[in-house]
Amino acid sequence: MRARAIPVLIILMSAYWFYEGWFDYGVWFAGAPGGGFMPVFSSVLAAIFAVVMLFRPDAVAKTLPMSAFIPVVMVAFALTLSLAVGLLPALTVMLFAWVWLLERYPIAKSLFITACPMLVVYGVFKFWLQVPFPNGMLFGG
Amino acid sequence: MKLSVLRLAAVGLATACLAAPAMAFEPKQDVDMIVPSSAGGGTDLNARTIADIIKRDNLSPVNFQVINKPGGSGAVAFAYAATKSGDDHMLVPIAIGQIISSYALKWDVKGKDMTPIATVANDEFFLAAVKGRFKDAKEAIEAAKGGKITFGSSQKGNSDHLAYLLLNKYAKTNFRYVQFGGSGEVMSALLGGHVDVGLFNPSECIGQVRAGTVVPLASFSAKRMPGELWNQAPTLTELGYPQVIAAETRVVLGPPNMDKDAVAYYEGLLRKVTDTERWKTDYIARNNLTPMFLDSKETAENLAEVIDKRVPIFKEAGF
Amino acid sequence: MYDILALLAHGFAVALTPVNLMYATVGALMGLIVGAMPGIGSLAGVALLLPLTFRLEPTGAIIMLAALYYANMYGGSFSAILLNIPGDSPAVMTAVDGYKLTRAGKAGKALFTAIVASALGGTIGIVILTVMGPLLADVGLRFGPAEMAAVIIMAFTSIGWLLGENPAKGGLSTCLGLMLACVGVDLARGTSRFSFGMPDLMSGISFVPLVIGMFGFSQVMILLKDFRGKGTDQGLAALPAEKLSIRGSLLTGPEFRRILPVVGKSGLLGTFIGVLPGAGATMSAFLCYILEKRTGRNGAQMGEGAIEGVAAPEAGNNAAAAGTFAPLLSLGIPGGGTTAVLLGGLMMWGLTPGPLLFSEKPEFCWGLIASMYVGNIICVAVAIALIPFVTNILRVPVRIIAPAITVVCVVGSYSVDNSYFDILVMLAAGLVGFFLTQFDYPTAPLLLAFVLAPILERSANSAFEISGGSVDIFYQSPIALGFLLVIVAICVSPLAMRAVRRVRRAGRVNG
Repeated sequence: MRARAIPVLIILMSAYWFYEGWFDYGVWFAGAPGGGFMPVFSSVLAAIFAVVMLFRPDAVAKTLPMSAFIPVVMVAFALTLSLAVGLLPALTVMLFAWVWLLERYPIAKSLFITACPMLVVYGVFKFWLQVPFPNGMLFGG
Repeated sequence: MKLSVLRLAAVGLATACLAAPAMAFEPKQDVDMIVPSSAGGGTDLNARTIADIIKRDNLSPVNFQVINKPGGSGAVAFAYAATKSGDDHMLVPIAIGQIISSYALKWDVKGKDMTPIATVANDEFFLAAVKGRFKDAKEAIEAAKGGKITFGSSQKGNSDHLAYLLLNKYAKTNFRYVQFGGSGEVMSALLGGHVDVGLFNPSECIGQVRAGTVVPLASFSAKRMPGELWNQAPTLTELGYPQVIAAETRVVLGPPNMDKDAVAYYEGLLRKVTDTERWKTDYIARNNLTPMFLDSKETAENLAEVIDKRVPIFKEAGF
Repeated sequence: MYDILALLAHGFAVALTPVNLMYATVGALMGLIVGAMPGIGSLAGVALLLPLTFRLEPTGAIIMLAALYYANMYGGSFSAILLNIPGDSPAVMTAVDGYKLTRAGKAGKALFTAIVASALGGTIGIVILTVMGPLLADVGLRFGPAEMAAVIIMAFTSIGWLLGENPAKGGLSTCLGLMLACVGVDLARGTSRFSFGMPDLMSGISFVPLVIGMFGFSQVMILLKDFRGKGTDQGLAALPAEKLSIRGSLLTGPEFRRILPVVGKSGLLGTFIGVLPGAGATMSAFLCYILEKRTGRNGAQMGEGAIEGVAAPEAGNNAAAAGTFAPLLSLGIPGGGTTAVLLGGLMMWGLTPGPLLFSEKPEFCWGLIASMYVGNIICVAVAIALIPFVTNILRVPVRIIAPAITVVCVVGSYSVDNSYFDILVMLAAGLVGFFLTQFDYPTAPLLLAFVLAPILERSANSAFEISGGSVDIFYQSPIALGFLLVIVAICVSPLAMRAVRRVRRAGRVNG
């Protein structure tokens, strides 16, 4: 059942792409392919393949353990936090929380594990390449 | 975001109550220069040169930090600036093409929402063709009335496109607009004979012009550009089309609702920058720009002129 | 020919001065670091370094920047092979086979292959640049929009060989790439399409965050799925120590002979693609990979962890990096983003790039070309020396490396355009990539379609603008016509072959 999710989602997406391409952007415009040509072309093709996949779902429905989504939750947490304290500090907190709370390393080791990659990131991205990371509201955003 | 707006409002209120009208503005923290294009482009170079001169000549107590926000060909930078309404520590160096795009391409935040501060340089436009293709601009314009002459240029909806529309309208030509990914691709197509004429800034074609492979036919500026490579090319005004004026003017804007004193401060600072010897030799001369300085009031007038008088031509052309 | 040798010898005299050697080394080191960091590519690296070089003497400055540029292609493969995060978009295809080799415990071999292939491919590109740079640039000029459209359509027909075992899945993935590529500018009107009112989408989805998400972030998700809860301190690959040393990484004679023809083919094709206007190292890496998969003796194993799959794209992208210098030096035309920045640099140093550059500043041009030979050797030496150090990262327990990679993915995505939005793109791409790989959909065709579609749309659009809407332009140009005929041949040949085989079999039965 789950193996059909991808074709179904793509059919929905291609329907929207087709609608916009056909009615809003125009397949043909001023005597040449218009902005809708590619959307219509790709969505029709996608729909054909997706229908084929719907009737031939080969993959056995896999169980996807929730642990796979830990990184997504973690990054979402870091992004929310970064609005307040800035991106790099938020990532540092995220990394520490992850290693200490989730992976259950002892606190000293966790601190060390957090420090190593963050030093590289601060050193290369912030100080050498001078990427202007957002500071967050607390520190004069 | 809300917090800082509140705080700013509070500071604003406090200044309004306490300060005498004569109190001048001084930046209290580092100033962000939001460049609406990626690192390495013309606007980026402009911003970095300004920041560097300010730092080296000690023109300001704080640092000017260049931040590239290239998304959406500039729309992202405008949208970002709009969220920082009233921020007195932010500048947006920009090419006028992106201000034109904000109207032609219907961005949410438009050029007039921003606070004009100064105009710092002018990058002229030349109509150019491979040597021998046309005798002069007149011949090219006559030939273009037949509707078969192609005009190589960059993306639609910016100042190149505006120059093209103005030329077609007032010189009654019928050039075919051909868009490319960048001026390098236009030059390739011109040299390879895939397009007949191209629109270039001097720095984009000077190598070819000096080698004699490409000839500038006419300039879109009001006066002929000095220098023996360029002064042979008549302006379109001289050729009888005074409405056809376009250039990639380099402007510095502030976010919406910038404080008047702050505008005055940055305007003065930029005037000092453009007066330095380094600006003139290292930036203007090397990049084949035309020196130009307009203060905030003149910049506002100039922008209004372009936006109100010339930009409507996009609508006429069906945009 | 003698002229060229004499000039080149003069160039070596310039390139081998201690100061210039130092610049090349510094540039190579920085390029390796910048290349290995996801997000910051050669464009940003060169652009950020450029202002610092204005005070240097131009020859030294461009030697440093050029070294940074091509060292990037080496650095990008490091993180692609070790962590499945392409450090730079040209390294996308390297990750496919390279990371599989790493998981099979052959990280050292994969890295060594990448370095050797990069060096040889780059050298092929530089030799071609030396001998026939101006000629090559002229060939590039022959490729107008119609010709480019034909080339890209030909490249599209080759996508079939990337699809994998289940063509419907590969096709679906390709179409998803095409649909995502539609987001951005509507060339016909100049306005934006599928931007959902978001300014960040008005010029399209950025490629680098997409790649970081599809490869790196989805990889982290897979790692957590596979390793979490086991409580082990296992690293990414269980590796015996000797495999990580330089000696364990060296290619054996037969292996070397396996990659040599691959490098030759990819070097030639890559150089040519580098010269084309609007194409670049990323496209070159893709096409060289596909060419090898199609024509190589070991093509069937590519995609499952074959050294050919590392050698082909790496040779291709380095050759393309050399190829882009042909139009830059002989005509003053930048072939891509990075060379456009270098062009700006030339102006700031008071040089005028253009047809006269070679005659006006021979010591500059030949010094640069000679330094590219020297720089390549420096890159090889530095990169090989780094192998034992960087492979140590594989011994770090997955429980530690996964969160660290997550941080790098986020930082890298942000740094491309200084945009929060790109982090969200990366997250979304990671989720999509994760589900696709879990259900055995290949992601490579998606990325290739995403790279090629905009170039095709742009070229076709310009071609139609030139011709005023008539299709004549595609068959009146001999080059375009030639490519279109090849496309027809490619499409028809399997059918024809089948027909011939059937006739033969029928004949045999009857006889």
